[in-house]
Order: sequence, then C-alpha cells, then structure tokens
Amino acid sequence: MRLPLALLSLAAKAALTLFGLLLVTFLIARVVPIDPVLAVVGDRASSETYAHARAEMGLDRPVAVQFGRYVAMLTTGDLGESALTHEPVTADIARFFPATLELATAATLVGLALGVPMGVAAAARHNRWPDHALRVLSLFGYSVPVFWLGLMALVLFYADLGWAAGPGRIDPWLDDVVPAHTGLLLVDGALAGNGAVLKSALRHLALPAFVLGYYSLAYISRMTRSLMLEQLGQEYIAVARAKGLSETRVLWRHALGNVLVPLATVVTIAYAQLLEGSVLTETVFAWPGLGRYITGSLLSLDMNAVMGGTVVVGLVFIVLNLLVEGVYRRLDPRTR
Amino acid sequence: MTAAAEAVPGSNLAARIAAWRETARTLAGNRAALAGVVIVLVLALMALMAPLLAPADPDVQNLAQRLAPPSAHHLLGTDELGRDILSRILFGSRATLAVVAAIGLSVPAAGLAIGCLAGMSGGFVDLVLMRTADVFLAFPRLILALALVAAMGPGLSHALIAIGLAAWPPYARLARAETLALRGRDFIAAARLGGASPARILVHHIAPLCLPSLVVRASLDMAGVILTAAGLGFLGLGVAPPTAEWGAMIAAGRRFVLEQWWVAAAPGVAIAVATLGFNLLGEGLRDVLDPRQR
Amino acid sequence: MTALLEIDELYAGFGAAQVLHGVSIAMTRERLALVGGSGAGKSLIARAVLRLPPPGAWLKGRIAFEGIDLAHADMRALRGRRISWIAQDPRLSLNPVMRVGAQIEEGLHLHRRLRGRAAREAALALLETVRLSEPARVHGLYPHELSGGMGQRAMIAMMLAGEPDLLIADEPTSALDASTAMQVLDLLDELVERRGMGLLFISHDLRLVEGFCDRVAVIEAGRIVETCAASALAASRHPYTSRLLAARPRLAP
Repeated sequence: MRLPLALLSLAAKAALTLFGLLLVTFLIARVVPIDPVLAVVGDRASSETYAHARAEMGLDRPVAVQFGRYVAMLTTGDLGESALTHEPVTADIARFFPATLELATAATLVGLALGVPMGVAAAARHNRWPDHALRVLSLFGYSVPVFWLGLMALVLFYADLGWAAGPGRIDPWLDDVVPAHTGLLLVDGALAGNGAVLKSALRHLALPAFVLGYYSLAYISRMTRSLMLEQLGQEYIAVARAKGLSETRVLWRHALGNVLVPLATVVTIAYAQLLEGSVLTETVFAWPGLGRYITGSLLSLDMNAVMGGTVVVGLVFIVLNLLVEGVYRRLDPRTR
Repeated sequence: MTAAAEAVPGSNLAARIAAWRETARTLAGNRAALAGVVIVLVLALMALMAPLLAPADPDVQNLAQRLAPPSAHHLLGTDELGRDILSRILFGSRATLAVVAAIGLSVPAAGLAIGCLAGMSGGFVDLVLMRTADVFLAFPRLILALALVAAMGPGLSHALIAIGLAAWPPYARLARAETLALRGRDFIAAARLGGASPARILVHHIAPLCLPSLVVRASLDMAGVILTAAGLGFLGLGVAPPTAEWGAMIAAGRRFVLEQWWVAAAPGVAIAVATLGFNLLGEGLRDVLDPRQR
Repeated sequence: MTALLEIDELYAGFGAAQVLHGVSIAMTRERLALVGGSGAGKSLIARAVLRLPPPGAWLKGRIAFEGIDLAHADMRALRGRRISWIAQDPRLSLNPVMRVGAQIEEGLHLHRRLRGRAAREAALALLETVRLSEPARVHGLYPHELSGGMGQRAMIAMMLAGEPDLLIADEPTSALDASTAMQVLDLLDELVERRGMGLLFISHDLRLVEGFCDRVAVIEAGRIVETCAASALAASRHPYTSRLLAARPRLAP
C-alpha cells in the first residue's frame, strides 16, 4: 500500500529537519561570546572550581560528543537550567507556553470567524467594493508592524476609550486564584466556576487577540478569496446554479465546501505565523507567554532559556508543517 | 492585434530593451504598483539626502524641550531626549534602506545559486542543500534572527546576517523548482548537444529564466524584512543607539505612549508606509511578470 | 401554440471578441438539435437561455420561455424546475466533494420539498430511472468514483429532479466512448418521450442527431446557416451542412 510509505517518508523528513534544527541551535549556543562556565561559577571562582564545572558541563569533550549529550538531554525533555531563575528550562517553558497558546488560538479564531466570511464576500463581489475593501484591509495587515499596532491599540482602546483592560493577562488580585489545570486561564476559570477570573481573563485577552487576529484575518481572508475565486470559475458551480440553487447556497455549501481542505492548510500556517508574531505582541501587552520568555532571556543572555525556547517553537513549527503535509491531504475525498 | 506594424528588433539587445519597455508600460498602468514604486523611490531619496532634508541634527539633545508635541518648530514633536523626531525619522530611513539593500541584493542571489545548483546536480547535493533549507525554514524568521543575534550580540551587521540566514530558503526552493522544470526542456537539450557545459547552461540559460519569479518574491519579501528588522530594533537588537532606527524609536517611545503618543506613532507610520511600498511594488511586479502566482 | 423556447437575435461575446451574431431559434416541445463545429458558440447559447454567462461573457437579445421574457423573469424559479441543463463531463460538472445522492436530494428538496426519508426514496427512484443497476450504492459514491457513463446518468437524474419542461443537453455524450454514448442516448430518448419534454440537443456530430432529433439547426461561426427537419438533412444543399455530414465516419454495420 502506498499510504504508509508516504507517511514514513514524511516522518523521516520531519526527523531530519528536527535533527538539523537541534544542530543549528546547538551551534548557535556555542557561538556565544560569553563563557557559559563563567556564567555558572562566577568571575571569582578558583581555577579548580572552573575546571571542575567545565568538566561537569561536558565542555572539555569534543564538540561531536557535546552535541550527542545535548541531543540525549533533549530526548529526556531536559533543556538545561536557566541561568537566571536556576529552574529547569522545561519547567519555565511549561509555565509560559499555555499563555501563548491561549493568545494564538484566540487570535486565530478571530481571524477565522471574520476572515472567511470576508473572503467569501470578496470573491462573490469580485472587483466590486467588498473586494477592493478587502484588498486594502489585508494590504495594511501585511504592512503595519504588529508591535506598533498593539501599542496604538492600547492607547486608543485602553487609555482613551477605556473599553479594553490594560496590559497583563489578568487583574493582579485574581492571579493564581484558580488551580492551574491546563494553564489556560479561560479553561481553568471555567472549570473552577469562577466568574470573576473568567471575566477578567476575557477582558485582558480581547485586545491582544484582536490585534494579533487582524494579521491572521488579513492572511486568511486573502487566501479564502483566491481559493473561492478559483472554485467559482469551475463548471460544477454553473451547474449548481442551473439547478436553481440560491447564490448563498452555491457559495457556502458548494464553493466553500471544496475549499475546506486547502483552507485548513491556510489556518495552520496562519497559526504558525501567529506564534512568531506573539513574540513581539507579548512584549507590548506584558503577556506572560513563551515569546516574552524568549526575549526576556535574550536580554539577560540566559542562553539555555533562549535555546530551549527556540527548540520548542521550532518543534511546534515542524509539527504544524507535518499536519499540513500529512493529515490534510488525507481529508480530501478526492485523494483518498 | 495592433494595426501599426511593429518593428522587428534588430538584435538581442534591442529585443531585451523592447521587453523591458513593455514591462514598464504595464507596470505604469497599474496605479497601485506605481504608488509602490513612488514610495520606494521616496524612501531611497530620503535615505540618501537625509542630511539635506532634515530640519535638525537627529542626535542633538535638548532636555528642556523633551517630549514636546508637534509644532511649527518640530513638525513631529520631540522625543524623550529632546531630539527632533522628523529628523530622526529621515535619518532612520538609512538603517531601513541599508537592510533592504544588503538583504535584497545578496540573499536572492545566494538563494538562486544554491537552488540552481541543487536543481542541476540532483542526487546527494540536492538532498543536502534542500534539507538544510528545510531546517532554516523550520524556524520562524524572527525567532531565528533573535537566537542568532542573541548569540552574536546586537548590532546592524549581526542583524543582517541573522535576517539573511533566515531569509534565503524560499529563494533556493523557488530557483530549484524552476531549474527542475526547465532542465527537461528542448532548448536545454539542444544547448547540451551543442557542447555547452552544465555550468554554462546554468549561468546562461537557466538562471536568467528564474529571475522574474525571484524578483517578484524579493520585492514582496523586502516588506517582511523591513518588519523583521524593525522588530529586532524594537527589542533593542538592531543598530546601536544613538543612531536613529525606526523600531528602536518605537521602543523608546513606548514608556510615554499613554501621554505623548506621537513619539511612538510617527516611526510606526514610517515603517508601515515603507513596507506598504514594497508590498505594492511586489504585487504589481507579480501581476506583470508572473500572473500565475496570484 | 406558444413556442416553448424562442431565441430572438442573440448576440454574445467575450469582451471585444464576438461569438454569436444574431442567432434566432424557435422550438416547441420537440427535439431540436443545434449542431456546429467547436467554437461556433453552441454552449454559449445554452448558458444564455439559463442566463448563466461564463465569466467575462456578455449577452444581448431576447429570449422567451413559454412566452415569458427571460430578461425580466425570476430565473431561480425556472432553473432546474422548468428548464434543466446537462453538461458534457460529469467529472467537471458534479461537485467533487459531495456525494451523488446528496446532490440529487438537494434538487429534490428545492423543487419538490422533499426531505429525509422521502427525499432518499425519490433519489433512489431517479437513479433507477436512469438505469443504474445499483442505485443505493451509487447514491453514496463521490463523482470521481463513477465511470463516465454512470456519471452522466447521475447528472441526468440530478437534473430531472425538478421535472422540467425543457431540457438542454450540451454535448452529453461527447466525453463517452461509442457504446456508452449509445446507451445514454437511448436513455435520453426514453426519458424525453415519457415526460414529454422539449429537448435542445447541442452537438458537433450531425450523424448522431440525424436519427435522434426532429429538427436540426446548423450553426457556423456564430450564425444559424440552416434549419431543417432531420429527415431532410441528407438532401441539404448547404456547403457547411454537407461538410459536417461528411466529417463523421460511419460506424461499421
């Protein structure tokens, strides 16, 4: 059967990419001008302590062996220790990742809920004002820097109009009130039945989700439009109309139905792009997520944390790409 | 068909010029693309003539005048150190142009070389090159740039290397795809029969044909490059202060954004307009050179 | 007797390129064939009657169905219910991601207000009418899982759901091999006869329609050059008609 072979080759390719990713991160970390041993033992350590620490960190072994140790560590989920917090990096990342997940998911939902109808409307009114409006809207989405838009949105919606809550994920007095089962405040708040937490979390999530959501909206609506236009020129659409079906049904049931699988690819890519965008948005909104963790660690030169974060993000990217290439093709009834 | 007889071009050069003229004419007809060209030219002009255009020295501090709102004296106000924002924006365009020029001229060329090589050689070379490209594609651009700059330290040259390393894979992929498609064509076989070496075929025949799609990709990409560079500047990883840089200006203005919003607003608009220019230009070029990509 | 369909001075084209130069056709509940080479504008006429011009096309002229001027009519009430259309290639004209049964039931729901079990039964009945041997199986298949002949039958079933008065068949057998084409034609013959529909049969094959239709209209380069009874075709003097007649090789007896 052909199918397992295709999946195997995909898995092999992903594994190879992962290997390369680890290699690159490893090499980058070695390029650092700071001596990692000094970072641990301090300037005033004796030469014996230095040598001892160096041996313990494995830095006296050849580079290839060091890489082997690195990979071995990673397979056990050990990303080293953060030079700043002295906690395992894995624990830090586990603490911050859900916040990014929550934001990226909310933003993607915004982009999807608004972007798909806009794309459909633009395709249905090809070359008329909804189409032009979409073009302008998405053009700005590709041009305006996200961190700046976030900043301006804060000024307008928080400082001037008071509609949105300020920076941060939740009101400080509600932080850590509900048990963190998932790390996703909306879920944890709902599970605990705590309305105040839920409300505060939502109010804080709204603005960054919409700011980030604008970018995924720009991309998703543009792609929906192209995909729809491609379908609307096909013969089965004319035949569907010839059956007497309403234009609404032709658009949403027939044309869009044929676009769902490529659209899933688009949404996944949009999600991946948001992970990238969250790095800067989290800084602006003081959102305690992975992006902020990476940039914070970067500025304090906590290399283990930066590399750990980079590996995790790279891993997520590889998984998302695997989804796109592997799973989605199976969903199309035509390729089954 | 046009009624007027079209003169048959007398030489290769004449044919090329005629083709370019046709492209320019189509481009000019597309108003959005034209706007893009204008914006890019204005950006280049600003960067080159900044010393002549700026009303004040961008580095001169005047703490008595800090955070002043826009006025006749300071058209865009002053920043937290009393420097004229308009002048800093004009000078900031230099950093942006430097990034665009450096990346735009080197990365697509490198990608073209790698991709064509991979496409022509096939086998192991192809495998290694493309897997390497995959690895660099596996990172989100900004994160990779962050990691690299973190390792090498801040500064414009390091930022350029970082962005460049993150940006080359798509060009290599594109060039490789085009090379593979062109390899089997008759005119290549004819050239080979004529005794041309693979290297010569690559350089003379294949590479030039890959150019249009790469040029389109490059112009659109420059928009993303500007945003990435601005992002790095925002995080303090770009040019070192006190040199004016738009992203860094936004970061600096962030502290005062709730009261003196213009300090952060102006550089953001500048970034947006510059990026918009490249987006429009890229889309216009795509419509002209490679309509299939729509 | 009011004409079933009247096309009066139809002009059509794509942008600056004009395809139809004042085509006029009138038909009752008969079988009228519209024959011409490719690019003659035949399919455009079908699209014009349904008022579904392909992207970039323009239409000008008066078309009346049972006396109703289609320019001012509610086309959605007519399409599928009074006028139906069978296209050439079922692989292109059926929705690829929707099961055949669902596509038929969609029409049944729209035109005969059938849902659920009643709709399914009616769909299966239709599939039987088009002589598909395993209606229940075909009902659950996707278009790409059907052979050409099966697909055309499914298409016919789908388009007859509304019980139309006029059927426009646009090269229905051109994508099929000879024997399957014969079967589908036979089926059409029976259905049109039984339901008393008018049939506008578009084809490039004059010999094919000679035995099948009552009258023939020959179109060349966007103009009707001859209209006559099918039986009178062989005696035609028009040079283009003769060429079309001669073009098709006879099937070996």
